[in-house]
Amino acid sequence: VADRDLEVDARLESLRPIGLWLRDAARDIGLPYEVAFGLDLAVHEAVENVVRHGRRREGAPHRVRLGIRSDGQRVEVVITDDAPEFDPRSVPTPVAPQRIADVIPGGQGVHLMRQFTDEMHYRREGDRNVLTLVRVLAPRAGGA
Amino acid sequence: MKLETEELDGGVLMVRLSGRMDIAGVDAIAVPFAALAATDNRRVIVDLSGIDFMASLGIRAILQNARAQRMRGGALVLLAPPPLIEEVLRAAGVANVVPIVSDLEAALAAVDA
Repeated sequence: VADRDLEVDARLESLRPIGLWLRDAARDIGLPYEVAFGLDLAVHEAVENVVRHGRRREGAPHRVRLGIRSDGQRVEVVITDDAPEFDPRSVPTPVAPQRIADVIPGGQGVHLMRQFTDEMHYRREGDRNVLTLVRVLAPRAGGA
Repeated sequence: MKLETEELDGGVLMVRLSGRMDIAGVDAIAVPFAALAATDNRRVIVDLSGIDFMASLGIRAILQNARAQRMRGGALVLLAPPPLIEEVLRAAGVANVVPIVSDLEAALAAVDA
């Protein structure tokens, strides 16, 4: 079981360091490239949501804590933050545009999280959001 | 991220993007990328073969550019994304509205379609 943690400010500038942290962790755990890529994408979208939903006018930014662990069968990334309650599973799947003129910016983040993970769990714990993103370390049948 | 351009025969512009197309990456190329859509009737091939990561922000940047090209009478096609990048683009529905092709010949045909 590999286990690593990282805590950063909930800011867009934290996305790069989070990506590097995840890349290092994926290498240490020995995750296949495709699994590491999927988690990188899902984590990126999840943290971007925390930043956007948790913006405050003043004071220190919210904090995000990430942990990754694997037992060889599955790998999970747990993202904990103290931003206002937000369950990404409540975001509906966007309707795919059929014409370029109909393209509406945004709305794809949670959809991509679903597509590139096998399971997505959310719970509110006190004043924190706890989101768990899971990839099964075997051929993937479908999205979460 | 890096952005390089090359004028091909026939007035087609080749744009080679490389690197990590996350928020920082998109910020780094935002100005030259947006400038590509500042001319009328431009035909643009965006080579994605050097992209190793793409998040929704990157998808948004591509869709906005493609829409801007279309509004100015031009066209934009995506060339040779690596397999996982193509999976991201298709999952986001990009393939419905922007052609994704695997070789230059198909790209040249698509910008003239």
